[in-house]
Amino acid sequence: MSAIHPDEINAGRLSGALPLDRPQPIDERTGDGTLIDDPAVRAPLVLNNRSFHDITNTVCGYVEQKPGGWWYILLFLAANIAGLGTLMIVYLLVTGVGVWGLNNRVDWAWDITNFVFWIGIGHAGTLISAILCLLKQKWRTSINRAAEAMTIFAVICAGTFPGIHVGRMWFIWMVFPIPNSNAIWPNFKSPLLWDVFAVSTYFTVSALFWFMGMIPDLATLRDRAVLRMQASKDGPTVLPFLSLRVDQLRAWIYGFLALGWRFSSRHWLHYEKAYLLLAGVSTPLVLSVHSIVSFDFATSVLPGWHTTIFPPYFVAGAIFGGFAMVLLLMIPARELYPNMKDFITLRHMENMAKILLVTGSMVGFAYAMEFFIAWYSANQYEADVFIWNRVTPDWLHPRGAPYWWAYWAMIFCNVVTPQLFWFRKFRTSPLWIFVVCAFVTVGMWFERFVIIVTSLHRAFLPAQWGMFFPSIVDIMTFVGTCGIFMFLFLLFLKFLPAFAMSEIKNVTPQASPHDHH
Amino acid sequence: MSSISTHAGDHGQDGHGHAHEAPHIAARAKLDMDAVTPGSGMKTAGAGLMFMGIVGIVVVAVGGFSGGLVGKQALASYHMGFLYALGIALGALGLQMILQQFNAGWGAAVRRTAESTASMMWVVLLLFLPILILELFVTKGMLFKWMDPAYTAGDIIYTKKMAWLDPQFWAIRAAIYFFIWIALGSVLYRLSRKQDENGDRWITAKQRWISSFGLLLFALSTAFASFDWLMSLDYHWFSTMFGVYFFAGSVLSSLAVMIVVMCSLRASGKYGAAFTKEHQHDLGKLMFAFTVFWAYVTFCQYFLIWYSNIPEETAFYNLRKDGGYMPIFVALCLGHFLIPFVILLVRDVKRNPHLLRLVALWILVMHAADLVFMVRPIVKDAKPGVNLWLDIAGILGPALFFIGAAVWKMSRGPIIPIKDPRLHEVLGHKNYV
Repeated sequence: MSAIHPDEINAGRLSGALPLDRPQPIDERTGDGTLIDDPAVRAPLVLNNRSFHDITNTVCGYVEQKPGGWWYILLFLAANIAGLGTLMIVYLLVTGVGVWGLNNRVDWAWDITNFVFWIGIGHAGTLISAILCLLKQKWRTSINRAAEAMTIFAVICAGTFPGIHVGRMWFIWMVFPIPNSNAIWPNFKSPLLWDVFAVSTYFTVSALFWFMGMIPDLATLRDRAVLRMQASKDGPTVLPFLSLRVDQLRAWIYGFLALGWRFSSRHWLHYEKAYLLLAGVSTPLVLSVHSIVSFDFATSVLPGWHTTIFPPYFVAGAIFGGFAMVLLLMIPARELYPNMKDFITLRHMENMAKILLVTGSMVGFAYAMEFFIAWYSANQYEADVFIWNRVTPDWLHPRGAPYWWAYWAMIFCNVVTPQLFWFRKFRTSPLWIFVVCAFVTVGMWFERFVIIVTSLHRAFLPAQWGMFFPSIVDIMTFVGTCGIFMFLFLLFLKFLPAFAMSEIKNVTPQASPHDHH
Repeated sequence: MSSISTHAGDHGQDGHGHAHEAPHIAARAKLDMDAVTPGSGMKTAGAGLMFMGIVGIVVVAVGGFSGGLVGKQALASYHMGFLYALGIALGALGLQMILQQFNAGWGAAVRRTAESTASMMWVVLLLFLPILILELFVTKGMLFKWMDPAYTAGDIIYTKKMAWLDPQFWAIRAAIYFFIWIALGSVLYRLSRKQDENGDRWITAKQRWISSFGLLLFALSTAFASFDWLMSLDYHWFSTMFGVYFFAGSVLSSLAVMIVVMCSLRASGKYGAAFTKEHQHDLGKLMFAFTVFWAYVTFCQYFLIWYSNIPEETAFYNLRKDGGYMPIFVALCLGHFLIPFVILLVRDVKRNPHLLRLVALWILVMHAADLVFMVRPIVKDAKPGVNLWLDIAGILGPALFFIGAAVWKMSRGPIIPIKDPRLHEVLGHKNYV
């Protein structure tokens, strides 16, 4: 056919310079070839007949090659926003929590809203890597690495808020059960303390899971750097006047992180066992963290906070918000990175859209139960919170409350917009999924705002009624955490393998030639 | 012996065909038609269970007609049995729809059992009719006290929820729930049986489509049915978690029944490659998962009420504590959660049909104890343990009758969906870890 060496064709294809080699025409009705309705056919998980070598080259290429211009621009923006947020935190610590809009009536507001918002987002990663692993959902292999990374960054953002909202940051160590010279122990009966344990355990295990999963891929990056050094005497150096080669630095750093991984079958045996064990250990963690976060509210006697459905409702909401964030990040990424669509197919998008529909409906179910029981309980205060403080606008009825818009924003974003995914057209269109996910992310923030602020702002006596208005520091701290999150995620995309190469190879057809799937 | 090759043809993304398969691939597991055709023993077993169920129902009816406290207890006991049967049927309906939604390959192995069980929902309706008729027209509020105008006179709390707790509306809702469940159960069963005959793989897509909105209807109807038939027994009390709690227990009991039936069939040499220790292992894992889920939901419900200590909520548990039901409470903590949790962690238990069946039977007993804890304390004058034969007959009667009916239904066709498009995945199913 042509005299081009196969490797060059491959290289051209991977860089997008040459057209893709498609052995079979794709049925138009199946999108990119993965939206197969036929129950007898399992859709391919990796497109374009990628070989093992292709997968390694593509994924390592994201790390080894210069990122696109967009990456520098976004990193610059994210770094600045993160810096702004950090400044706000410093200002808060220097001045005191008075710089926020908190007051005696609404003494939890954006701080705890943001905490729960971020911790919720941090649920998708471990769900994908642990629960979907136990459920043998092979499609998770394309999204688990990025989702786990996102989980860890989200938990970092979440952990910031309880730390800084105590006011005297230098006393935060008191949340840990360390007997100090005054023999003061934290209150073990308080769900706030359980939260410390729950979140820190979750962070530790998620980080271990993420890191352990990356070890073989880090070793691949190390080996590629070593091979390039052996193949050629010169290559790019770290700085123009330094003779230290970039590949040498890579070999050192990735080599250090790879913990001596040598791809021996014994290593793989241990790896797979450890992976399964960690998946088993992480599964209850996915449920426990947000259940305990929900206890922060539900163990109280405050109408709007105390209700028994809170634990599973919070878990469903967390998965809902987490998947929305995974999609918000991966949809642009698959457009920006060459050949990422081979790994994140339309089928992956559709599956995640379905999860959004399910978890969104679960959240809607919980809202319905809360609302029904608020009425059915015949408890006047329950009814006041739901019917008057949340649903009814103050301009419609004198008993209404000023936060009605937050409630309706929550209902619209969380319950109404995901219903679009009943229709195939919407759940297979990345653009529509992106739009819905943006709504869901906003909605899930509002959910926590509604729970926290509307329940607090009207106490049993009208004299105790108040309002919450965020200060500029409130707003900028939250925006700042978004910057921290984006900054960390962009660094992850550049410096770490964004896909679990070994796992993706495992779900390609050539990995199990004796099987049809 | 007739055999159907399950080679599903060449598909997938690889493009190159498998015309030259290695011998060991060609010899992959095949569906043994004899092994998936029910024997006459199954029909007999179903009929036997139904007969035992009828005996139980007659015993409880005798108790009921004797009136007085025994009559009241008989009604409550029978209600437990009805809820037991309902839970099994509902769990089967929910499970098969969930399996459809997950596109679960191995699920076809267990689906027919669930389909047969859920398609007998009309039997549950039959079992419900005595309660409906008695409570609406004869005993009028013996079980559901809010139906008794004399009892609720001057009750402000009842007045506030009268719109919902209205006997006519209650009956209409029951009709709606049963309509949803019977329609879903029979449509899904019929489609599956039709596929047995014509092998149309698109029927699976249709079932999946029905299951999607079916699950939504199922979730809402199950939750409100649990409010109507279980939570409203103590009509002052309320818990938003209650629907989830009822769902968890129902699915668990349904899984346990499926395991008992399928392990028994397997032990008697049925199924062949269609339900091996690999599938059983997965079914055992699912039962383990729902054991934990039930415990999670039940613990959260109890714990949040205990911690907040609001009198109108704790009344529910105080009634049980003061009524002498603490031993059952402790038994539930240990027997409904801790013991099966530890035992089901063991891999060999999940892969051994006799051991797994034993654990499933244990869970079924514990599920009965759970229902006793929920329902029986409303008969305040009859302390726990009084007329125990009545409680046993009340639960076993409707439960065995329904299980027998489900087994009988299952014996009317192949015990797995023989033309399921993913049958080759079922036959080759392995747990590699």
